Amino acid sequence: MINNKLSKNIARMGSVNFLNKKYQLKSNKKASINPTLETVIYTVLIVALAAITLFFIVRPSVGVTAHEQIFAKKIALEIDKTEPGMKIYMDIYDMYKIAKESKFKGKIVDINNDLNKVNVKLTKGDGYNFYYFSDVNVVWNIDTDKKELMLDIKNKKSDENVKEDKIEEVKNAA
Amino acid sequence: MLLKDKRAYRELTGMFIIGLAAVGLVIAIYMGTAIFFGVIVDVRMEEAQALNDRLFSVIVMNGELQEDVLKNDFNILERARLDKKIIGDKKDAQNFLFFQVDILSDGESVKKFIEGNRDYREMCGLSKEGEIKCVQEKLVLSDGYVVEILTASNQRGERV
Repeated sequence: MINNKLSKNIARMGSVNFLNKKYQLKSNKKASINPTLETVIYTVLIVALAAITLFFIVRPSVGVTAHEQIFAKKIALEIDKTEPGMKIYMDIYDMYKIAKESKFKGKIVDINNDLNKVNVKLTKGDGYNFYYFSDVNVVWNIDTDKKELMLDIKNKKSDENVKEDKIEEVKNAA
Repeated sequence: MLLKDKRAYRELTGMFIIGLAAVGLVIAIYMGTAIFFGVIVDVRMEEAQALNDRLFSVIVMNGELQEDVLKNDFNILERARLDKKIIGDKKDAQNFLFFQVDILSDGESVKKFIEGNRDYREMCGLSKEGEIKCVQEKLVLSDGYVVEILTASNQRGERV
């Protein structure tokens, strides 16, 4: 009895007890399970939180930025593959859809003939640039009803074309 | 003593959890950034091919060499409608394209056109995976000329 009491006190104090191994083991087990369980729970929670954060960071941004890139490259390559005098009509319904999803209401396509640069913007920011190598004048227009981009490829150095382009620009501006 | 051990254990566990959280957060931010900026739709091969096709259409007509190609005043950039800002030799030109056109007769080069980033010529030979994309084509014409065209692109586009 005295031995038991003594061993209990010694066990509570945390020292090694050779007299009652059973009680000491129980005591140590009780002390070690909870923190381990806590660690596991916290670890699981952190991993879940990291996964959720990653999912929400990655999912929308990858979609929009990848599409900006795809469309910019597609338009530039189409310009490079065509001859002056040809017109290209491109369905840009998906671009409108993505821009709408990301609540972007600005200009989604811009073609700079001086820099040979195609810029596509489907979300806030400056968008994605891709260059075409053709020395051509691209007259372009977006049909917002049909959700269609029209590219009219013209020779850069023809004065007649320059005049036509200016008339077209005035029309577009009006 | 045991109480002290428990506290020490919990403190250690707490530190471990904070450390784990920090590591998790860093990984999440790193991966998010990497995916955000790392998605690359590679069209360099298509661009090199488009350039190659354009050059062939200027050099060759109906299976024969164009009449004026061998003349000294033949301006390949102008004829192929290639913009000097993109592929020219000027310092302010974009430096991501290259082409070399070699016209051979009886095994000897009679005319050569080289424009763009000259470093790409050797890189194409070494064919370093991922660095640039090259397209090399050879055409034997009906008038006996052989046209070899090597084009390379390294345009990855830019997020602005």
